[in-house]
Amino acid sequence: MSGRGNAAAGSPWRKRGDMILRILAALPLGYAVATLWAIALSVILPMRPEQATTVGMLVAFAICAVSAMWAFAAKSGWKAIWVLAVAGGVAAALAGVMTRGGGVA
Amino acid sequence: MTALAFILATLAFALFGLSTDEHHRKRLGNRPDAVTVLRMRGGAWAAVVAAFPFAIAAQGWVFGPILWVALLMLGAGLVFLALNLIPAPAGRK
Amino acid sequence: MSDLGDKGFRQSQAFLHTWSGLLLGWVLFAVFAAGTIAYYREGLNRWMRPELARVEQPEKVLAGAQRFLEDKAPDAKSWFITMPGATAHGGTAFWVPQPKEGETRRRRRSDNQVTIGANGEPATVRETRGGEFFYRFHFDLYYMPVIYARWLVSIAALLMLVAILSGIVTHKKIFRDFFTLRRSKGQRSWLDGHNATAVLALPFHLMITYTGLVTLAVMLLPWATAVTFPKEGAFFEALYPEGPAVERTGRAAPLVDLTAIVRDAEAQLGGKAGYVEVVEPGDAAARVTVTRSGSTMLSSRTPHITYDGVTGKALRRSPETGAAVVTAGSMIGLHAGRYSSDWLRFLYFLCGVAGSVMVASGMVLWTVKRREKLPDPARPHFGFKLVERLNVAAIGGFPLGVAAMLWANRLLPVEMAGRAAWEVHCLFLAWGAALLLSVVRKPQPNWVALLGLTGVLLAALPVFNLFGTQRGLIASLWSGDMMMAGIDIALLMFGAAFLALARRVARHKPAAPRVRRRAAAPVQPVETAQMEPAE
Repeated sequence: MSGRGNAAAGSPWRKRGDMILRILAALPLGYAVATLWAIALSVILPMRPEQATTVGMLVAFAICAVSAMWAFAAKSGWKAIWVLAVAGGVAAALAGVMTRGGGVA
Repeated sequence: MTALAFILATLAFALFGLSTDEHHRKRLGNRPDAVTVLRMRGGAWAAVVAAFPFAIAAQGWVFGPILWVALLMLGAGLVFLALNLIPAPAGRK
Repeated sequence: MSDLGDKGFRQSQAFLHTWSGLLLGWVLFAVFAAGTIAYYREGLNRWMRPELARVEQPEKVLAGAQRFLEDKAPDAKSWFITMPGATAHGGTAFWVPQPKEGETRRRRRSDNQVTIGANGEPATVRETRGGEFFYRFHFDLYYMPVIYARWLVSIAALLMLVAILSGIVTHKKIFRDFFTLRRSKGQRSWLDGHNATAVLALPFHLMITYTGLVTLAVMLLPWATAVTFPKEGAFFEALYPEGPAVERTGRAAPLVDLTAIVRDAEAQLGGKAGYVEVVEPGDAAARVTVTRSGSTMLSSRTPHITYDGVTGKALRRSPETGAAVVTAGSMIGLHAGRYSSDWLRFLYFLCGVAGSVMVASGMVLWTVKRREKLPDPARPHFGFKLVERLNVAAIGGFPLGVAAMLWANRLLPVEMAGRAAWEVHCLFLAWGAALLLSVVRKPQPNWVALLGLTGVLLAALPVFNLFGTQRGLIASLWSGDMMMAGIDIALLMFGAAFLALARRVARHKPAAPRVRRRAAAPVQPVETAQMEPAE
């Protein structure tokens, strides 16, 4: 990739590291967040379990794609990762709470 | 019904296209001012919305929306080709 | 490369758009092109079997299938009959023999399969995969276990979804650019072409990518059922509950006339029948299940009715599916487009062509843009050379492969062993030759050669049909066989288009000696690019 150098941006290794973090944030972290939300929706939604699971699956791809967009829009690679980690954590917490509290399967 | 929806869809994109500087100049001779652009685009959006009930009437609630989107794409494509491939009247550029 | 975090939102998405589009763009092109062709898979099934006549009476085919199966496989465990639609080449039937003690389940379907022609008799026809090849290829690829292929295609589809969304977000002044088409302006013309094919059919591109992922959702999201349906198979059991399994009694009883059952089922289901499955034919416990055709409704999850195979009484109808499942089924139905009328299917096809052009033009645009920035045009860096030549191999090679396969379908001897597989090998042999060529020669003469050869081969096919088969264009038009006529006409038009493209490329001369480029016009330094160049 030929580059327009931006002298104030930092060493090449920092840039490379930042890029790697963003790629990790997009996939596999984006995929993990999408799956976690699919699981969360499957237990939260007030419908029959196979219907709720289907909704979770349908929505998951949008979440994954948007996560990838966020991974590159974020101000830094680390910010990309921690926001997605929080998003995934919320989903996991919701799923955990609902499973233990309500009991599904 | 389908024909009406198609005409409205094509009209919508004709208005969108002609509201741009380049094509307005080419086909209508002058650069459009802000009011004209607003009117044309407003009319275009109205045509887009108006086509919807005709599409539903033609094919029902399941296939109607599909027909609507299909006609919009078709109208847009035809207008695109017409505006770009039909030569403008001589003396205009 | 400056820090991505310093760039604005639009710039970051432009970067993402470029790379998500480029990484698997070559796979995407082949998948998109094959999928587009697959919209006419039934027509190609017929076109590639010119010996077969058009099906006029599906009931005749069904009766013929029943006769054949009662004669050939009276004690099979199950029969499976595909009802021919209006454009099908015939009815296909296969049977599953009774499982023997100790024998492993290595069912070779090709041994237990037959094609029933329009006259109800088993058809002697050249062995070919027909249009089904393109359908299968666009998610199973070839020469690899399907699970790897589907994952690769899915990742490509996800990247495409990201490319579409980031492309929308990054595109400023979408109205002003919507109708712009600058001709013969090098990079800007490529950009306009890429934008036009992308934006004009944008609803289609978004839909096809998203719904494509949905069709493979269960494979792609195995953990989504981890909490609600942890046991294997429980999810499917909940979605599509089956009736009780059929137990063979050993008492022989004649099977009821399938035609009568299908007529009743079509009346009850509200649409034409697509499949007929008979379990334990000839036995007192026989069951016949008739499933509604996917071409008669939007959702791909069509309902079915199960009948008693001896008395013909309706026993069980598939339960209504919930809203979420109907939505998923409708998404799959939208993707496959089986419900579509003739003209809507043609529009699907046109949108698919636009999509293929969108992918191809995007990848060429990348090289055209990059060429301007090369420090030394005579010795481009490896990445640039790789993309440039892979573009030739993928975009020039795949259509050539398709043309080669269609010719193989016409020319390979009918009695040849493994003929169907060899037709496909011919596609990949031609594609491989294109790849070899792209490594060895410079890109421009390669483009001309590949595009030109493809054009000649495609246009020559209808000519061959006129003299070499009974289904030439004139015969098709005369008998009102619009599907066959349409394919021949399409081949002529695509052939002409490829030849025109080849001529255009041949005429492009590299411009100013300072910077070597493919476009004819010199650089316009004043006009800024509409989409900020991404790194």
